[in-house]
Amino acid sequence: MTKIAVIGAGAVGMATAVNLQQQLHSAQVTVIADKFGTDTTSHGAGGLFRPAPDMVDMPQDIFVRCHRQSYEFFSQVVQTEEACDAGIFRISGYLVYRDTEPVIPTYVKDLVSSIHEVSEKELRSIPGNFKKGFFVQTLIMEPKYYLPWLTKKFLKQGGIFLKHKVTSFQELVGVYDIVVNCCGYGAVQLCNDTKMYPHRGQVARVKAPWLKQFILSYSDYSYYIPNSETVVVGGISQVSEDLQYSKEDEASMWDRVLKFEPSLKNAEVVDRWVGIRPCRNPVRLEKEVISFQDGRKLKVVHNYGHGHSGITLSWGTGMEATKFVQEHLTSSKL
Amino acid sequence: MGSKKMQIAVIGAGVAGLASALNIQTALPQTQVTIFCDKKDTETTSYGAGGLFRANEAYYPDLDLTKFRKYVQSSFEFYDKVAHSEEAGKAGIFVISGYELYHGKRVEPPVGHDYVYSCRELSKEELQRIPGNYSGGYFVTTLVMESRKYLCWMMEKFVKNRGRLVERKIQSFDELSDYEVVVNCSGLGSYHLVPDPKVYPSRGSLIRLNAPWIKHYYISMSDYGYIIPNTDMVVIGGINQHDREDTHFLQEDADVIMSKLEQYDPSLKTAEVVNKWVGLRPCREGTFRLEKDIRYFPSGSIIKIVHNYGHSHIGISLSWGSGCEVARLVQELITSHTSKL
Repeated sequence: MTKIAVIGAGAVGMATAVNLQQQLHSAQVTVIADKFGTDTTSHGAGGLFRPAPDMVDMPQDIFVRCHRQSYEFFSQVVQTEEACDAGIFRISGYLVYRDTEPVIPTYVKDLVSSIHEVSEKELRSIPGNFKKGFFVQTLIMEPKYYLPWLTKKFLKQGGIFLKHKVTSFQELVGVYDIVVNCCGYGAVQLCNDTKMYPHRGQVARVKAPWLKQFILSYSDYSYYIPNSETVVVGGISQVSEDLQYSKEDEASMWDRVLKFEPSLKNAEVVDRWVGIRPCRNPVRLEKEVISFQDGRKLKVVHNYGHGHSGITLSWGTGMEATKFVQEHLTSSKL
Repeated sequence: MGSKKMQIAVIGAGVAGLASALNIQTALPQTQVTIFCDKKDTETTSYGAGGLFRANEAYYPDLDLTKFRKYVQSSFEFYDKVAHSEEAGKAGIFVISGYELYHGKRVEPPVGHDYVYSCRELSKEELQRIPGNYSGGYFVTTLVMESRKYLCWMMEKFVKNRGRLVERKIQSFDELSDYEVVVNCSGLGSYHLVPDPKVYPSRGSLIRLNAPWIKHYYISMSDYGYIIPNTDMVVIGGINQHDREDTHFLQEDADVIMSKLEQYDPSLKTAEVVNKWVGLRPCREGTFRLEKDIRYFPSGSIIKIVHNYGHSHIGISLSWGSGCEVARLVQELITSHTSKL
């Protein structure tokens, strides 16, 4: 029996682990992480499926393949009774801009259900004097439900959890045949990865159930995204590792968001959250064989650095990582 | 006459009555408006409706299309303003998108869709991805005016503007001879009150579910099944039974509704049922009645009336625009009176 370890229990780690179980029936998969569930970076995200080629650095063919694989899977779940357990549902909304230049490439439009440019009449109905807008039909994978749903699947298929912070790959040699590294921002330490950079996000979750669509104001990164019971309001994207909540950031965010959604003024805030998006130029999705000083080797697959699109890409990159694992397994012995 | 305000009576505290009363208060600040009703809030026909803005001219074979368009446009413009204001949540008026789908021969979108944010025909590829084998349909961005909240919000404004509410069933217009003008928004009650034999009920049943993951609406243009998200609950329905007046919710109602929707959205089956409701739509043969009238009674009273009833399936959608028109007609009646002096 092949023993596989997945480092990291966020959306990417869990989706990768479940994929491994589904494709490799003879494998025993263990997820090793120091943070689970509501403590993960994934937990606070709005969960909107949004292909963002300007924010996620991947070669175009891989970008397309990973998004497409993700969206096909999520679309298929949405049509079943599992949809509400999985926290996966259809949503529409607006991407609005303050200048008239933005164009969304066709290959991006093809990655969601639809994207159409908004008419002037419709654009004018949104307060805030936006100059251009797109209406997007896409999906949400709400982490509050998506992560536990993946966890349930993982356990049901015989998966094991281990609460432990991996500080070096050497710990895992001889214990696991292959390691899939979905450690997110942890790669700074674990891999000495200098290409990682932290994109701090701060959000407020409010009760505003009359809001059924999202609005993303692209230029100032202000947004609100309805989830099932709450609406995520955000507008912070700073390169910073600071996990401390900031009142100033929240005030600035409200200032901007209330301009295009005045009805949020009276919404009750039920939660506040800060997360560090694990960004990397480019996203690391590749095989490696690590050699150690004592001569031993470890087969590794890296799947981290998804930045703003971790939830979106979780399933598609999980599939890619699984393919790399299969390649490792069929390759000649070390 | 001194500083005494001109008295206007409105019969009915459903959407038509409240929207009419509010419009009169705003357009004619020199008046004092009193609403007479035998049912208010949860007891009104309006209360349970899903509240989707969808002004479909098909319900009115004798419609004056030009006037209809005017009422529809002024309705939408008002709801749009509220939806993009701080009051959206309180008023229960919000933007929503959804799918309107049909089987068989092509169905045109309703006239009201000329006024909504967008109405786009679905492509073949999109239709293929939707369960149910629909031959065509539209993706529409419009508004919901969630009745229960909208009614409450209007009532609050009405009272704040010094409106009076009297809970009393009016059996004859003659009872209100002290009022300068009587506005009749009595819905089904007009059958007896006017009396108007063209008025008839159309029974509708609906279910409210706890299904917060549903963010779009759905209308089957072929068999009338629908899913309409409200603020906290999702309304599902699809019953339209002419000339039935029973208001008990029946198991067969639930079966019919689910049979129309479960293929389109299987997740509905997993949702918790919060309540079930039956309402009798106040329909009228030919078209709804929105016009001036003068009635003479044996007592010698001459009652000036503005009728605003019989809106069938689109009472919530038309409420504001018809209310605007009511205020205009009331103004005409008042002006014609004073010009006689």
